Amino acid sequence: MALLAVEDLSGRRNGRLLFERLTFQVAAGQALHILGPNGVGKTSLLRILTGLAAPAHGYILWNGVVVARSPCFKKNLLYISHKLGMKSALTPFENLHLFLLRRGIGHVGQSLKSLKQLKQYAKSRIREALLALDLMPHANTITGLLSVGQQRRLLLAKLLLTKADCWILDEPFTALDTKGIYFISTLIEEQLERGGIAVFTSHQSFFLPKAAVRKLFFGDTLGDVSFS
Amino acid sequence: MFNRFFFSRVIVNLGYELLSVCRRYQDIVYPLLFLIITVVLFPLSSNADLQAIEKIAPGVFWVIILFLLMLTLEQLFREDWQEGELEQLILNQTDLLSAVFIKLFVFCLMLAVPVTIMAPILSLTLSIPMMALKTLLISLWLGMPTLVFLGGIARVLTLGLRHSGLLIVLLVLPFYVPVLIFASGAVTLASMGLAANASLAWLGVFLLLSVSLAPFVISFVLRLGISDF
Repeated sequence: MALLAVEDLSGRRNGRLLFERLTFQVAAGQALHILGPNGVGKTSLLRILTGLAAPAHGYILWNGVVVARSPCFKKNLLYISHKLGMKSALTPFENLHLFLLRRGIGHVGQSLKSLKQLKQYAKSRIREALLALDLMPHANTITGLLSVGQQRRLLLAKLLLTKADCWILDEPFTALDTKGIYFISTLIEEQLERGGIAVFTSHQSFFLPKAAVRKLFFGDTLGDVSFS
Repeated sequence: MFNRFFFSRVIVNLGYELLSVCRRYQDIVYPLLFLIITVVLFPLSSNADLQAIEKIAPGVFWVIILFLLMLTLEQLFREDWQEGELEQLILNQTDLLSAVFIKLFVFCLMLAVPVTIMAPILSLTLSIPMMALKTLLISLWLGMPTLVFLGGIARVLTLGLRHSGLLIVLLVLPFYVPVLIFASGAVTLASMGLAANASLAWLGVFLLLSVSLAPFVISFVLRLGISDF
């Protein structure tokens, strides 16, 4: 049961108050789309939701437990920021291997006995993900040398490889072509069908016809935050 | 954190860190270049007599090492922070401690190799006698990890800033001073032919304390939150 609740949240950045007394809930199967002009605090809100930045005031609750004291939240969270999120000196294959290792490979198939089996299992899953994303020809080039669009597509592999109930995505649609946008939209819909949550910001248009998407508008002036 | 895959995670992580350092070899060459420059410039610019230089040579050696740290400590978590890898580690609570330790360890190696290579040459130009070379190397291997681990704490406190090399060293200077005193004391004693065991033992104590405690402090500071400037 996934439930992200925000109570009386206010956030600051560089001393400037961005928003205050924000209260909302995102239940299982719902997506939240955060809109607003540049610089108004969307990324800061996402960082506060993940727990990387502390809010000036207020609480964030995951399944009723405050996020700062909930190890369950961190295990179930997948955060994609506008930065790369991986080491640019390693190849996609190596980066995803490290990612799987840190996540605890295989929520499915825990009966793996030896380390070799672990590595082979990881390799097969990474290969599947890279094939689905059309990145196999670049699987062994250094990530820093890929184009920005290819790097953003690589981040989608993280979405494919683990099961996480809460997705917090910062501008997931940037630098992607139409095929990529369609692919992410499909992934988000599947996540919502599984009972997970997706919170994202985006300036581009996207297609999520089957999903229950709520919108959070940040206005130009402070406190001008409204829902639909 | 200590499940049955702990060692495999550590080994794989270490391998990937070393791999990424080897691929960005400019980071290894930089300390070497700095030491070469000091080796070349010092005899050229100093025309004092040999006796005077011999007296202050160990101190000068360690100040050169300190300047080296000042120049390179900025690189410690920089790429990881800019690429967002550090954020992902902070969110992944189980692996932050071991990843921080591995990054610090790899950084020590990255500095230790050029310094070990250049130490004999540098001690020649500074007129440190050859019989002190062994003690010099041991004090280097005991002292530099301490300086790096303590510098890591200051580095993480200034992570969002640019050009923070000087500020980092300034922050940790009170903690560096004992290490510097004992290290140069050890080399002075050895160059006079005396045994330097006591000073080296103190260096060992500092090493053990900083290596075991610094990763915890660094993880704590990282979890507090860093903002970009």
